[in-house]
Amino acid sequence: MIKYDYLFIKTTTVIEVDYAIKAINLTKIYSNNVIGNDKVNLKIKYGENFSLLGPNGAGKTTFVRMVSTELLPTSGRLTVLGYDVVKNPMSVRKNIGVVPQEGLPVMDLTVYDHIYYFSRLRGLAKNDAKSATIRAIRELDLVDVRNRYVGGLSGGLKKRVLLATAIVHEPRLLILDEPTTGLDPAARRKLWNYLEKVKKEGTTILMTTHYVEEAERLSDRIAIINRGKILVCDRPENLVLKSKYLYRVKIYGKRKIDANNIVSFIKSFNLAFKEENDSIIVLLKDIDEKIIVELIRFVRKWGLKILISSTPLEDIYLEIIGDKNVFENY
Amino acid sequence: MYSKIIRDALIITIMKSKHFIKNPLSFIVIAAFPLIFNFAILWLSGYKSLVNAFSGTMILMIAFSGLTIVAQGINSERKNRTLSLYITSPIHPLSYGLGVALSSLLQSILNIILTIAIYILFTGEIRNIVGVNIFLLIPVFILTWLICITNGLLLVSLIRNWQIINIITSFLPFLYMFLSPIYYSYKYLPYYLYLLVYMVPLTPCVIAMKSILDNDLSNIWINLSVAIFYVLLFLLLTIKKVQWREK
Repeated sequence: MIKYDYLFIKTTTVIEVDYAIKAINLTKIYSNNVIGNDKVNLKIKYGENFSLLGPNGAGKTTFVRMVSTELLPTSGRLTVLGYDVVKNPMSVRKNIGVVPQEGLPVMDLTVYDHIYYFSRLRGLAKNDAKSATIRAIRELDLVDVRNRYVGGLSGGLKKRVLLATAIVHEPRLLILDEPTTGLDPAARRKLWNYLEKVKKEGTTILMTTHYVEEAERLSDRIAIINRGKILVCDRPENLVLKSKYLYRVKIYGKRKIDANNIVSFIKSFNLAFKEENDSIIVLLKDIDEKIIVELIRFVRKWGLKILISSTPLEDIYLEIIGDKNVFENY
Repeated sequence: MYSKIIRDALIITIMKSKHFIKNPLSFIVIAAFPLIFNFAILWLSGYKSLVNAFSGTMILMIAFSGLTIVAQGINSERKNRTLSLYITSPIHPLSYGLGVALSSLLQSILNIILTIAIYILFTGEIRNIVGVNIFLLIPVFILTWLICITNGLLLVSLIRNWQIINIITSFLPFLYMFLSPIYYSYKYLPYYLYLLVYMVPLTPCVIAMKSILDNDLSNIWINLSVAIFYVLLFLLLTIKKVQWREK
């Protein structure tokens, strides 16, 4: 893009407009030699709701902090909304809204002042900032507490204040680092509904979470990250297909299960299984009629029940990050 | 660009100043220590150490509020990750530093007005002293404030551990209080101690203020120059060491 500065000198700014976020071999090594991100390659489209899913310490926050220009990468390249985060952080900051993980708002301001002053810092003029603040307060359902000091609010309300502060200037990219951690189920659902609304308006959302359900419900695509590396990245429905075991058969019933009997039966078919409270879960690579028929016969004989379902994303997530407990008895 | 830096700094000043509007007690606590301490000296000396008590209160007011607000304020925002909200906003780091510094100046000015008012109530002499040299006292106040805030900014730039910063910034004003010649005359110190005392950044400001109050302006410009040198030194070191974006 060619533009002219105020002295009419031709200047050139290279803006890569193909992806909202583009990371190429992005690596972050901290000063204590801990690897935060290891050659991460990710491309997130405009308008996409993208989730980074991973256990604690996986490198989710490191990635998000680099995207939000808070942390400098060690090597590799990262462009956000077409701007290089190292060379042009101010252009990135003008267009993003960030809710940091465990970040606290400014405690000595009222809810209104908090949102208003940050909107002014993001470049809004006085009148625009006032109307944008009122709109954000309404959208995040903060009307009743607008004149209360932030320091006196509950954790859920503080999170909402941070979210209102992040969206007040209508950013093109919303970055949420574990936004629902510590929220009660009702507050979490409210936040999910709000994020779905924001997404419909065309805002790109980058979110980190360790709740599989949340990622599955909100995301167009999910990247599973562990030990700084992206292990897999796909649509939620496609992630299910990446499992070794596409189906699970739950054997349960009022009558106490004779585990030894069932286990020897399952082992005769060389199947993976795991024991869960009062049930046994058999994992199947595919629907094999012969095995299903045999299983049904077996459970009828013992007066038990059987439930066949596709493997939930949570199990697949645990399988991908290498949690041994998923198939401990295999 | 510069107008945006100043505009953002003023917005941050208002944000930070709301802190002591909400908590007037914190403002009084910061003001109370130097006030009580110096009034005790004044009273014990039978009102003879007026110059020491007055200059001590003024310098310590600025030192306490400057160091505490700047270093501990930034430190707690870094610890609570509130600083992330500023870093990810399109503001220049200078706006943030300046905003925090100006809020401490605002608090110092309120403290100073309070001190002057109390002194005027207690003694008639103060009116004469301040009346004569009021215009020279202002640059001394400003330099003292600049030394304290640049000192605070340098500390938070150098040290990342919030607990260590808290300990240092709580201890440093007391160190400055006793090492700078507030409660004794530097003229009677042996040469090696004089050098040591002169290495305390507040010393030139203290000497300058006492000179003004004594109506002896012979060495005031040297002391003001040394104070400016300290400000520039701290500022340059801060710019070199500051990490707005974490590396």
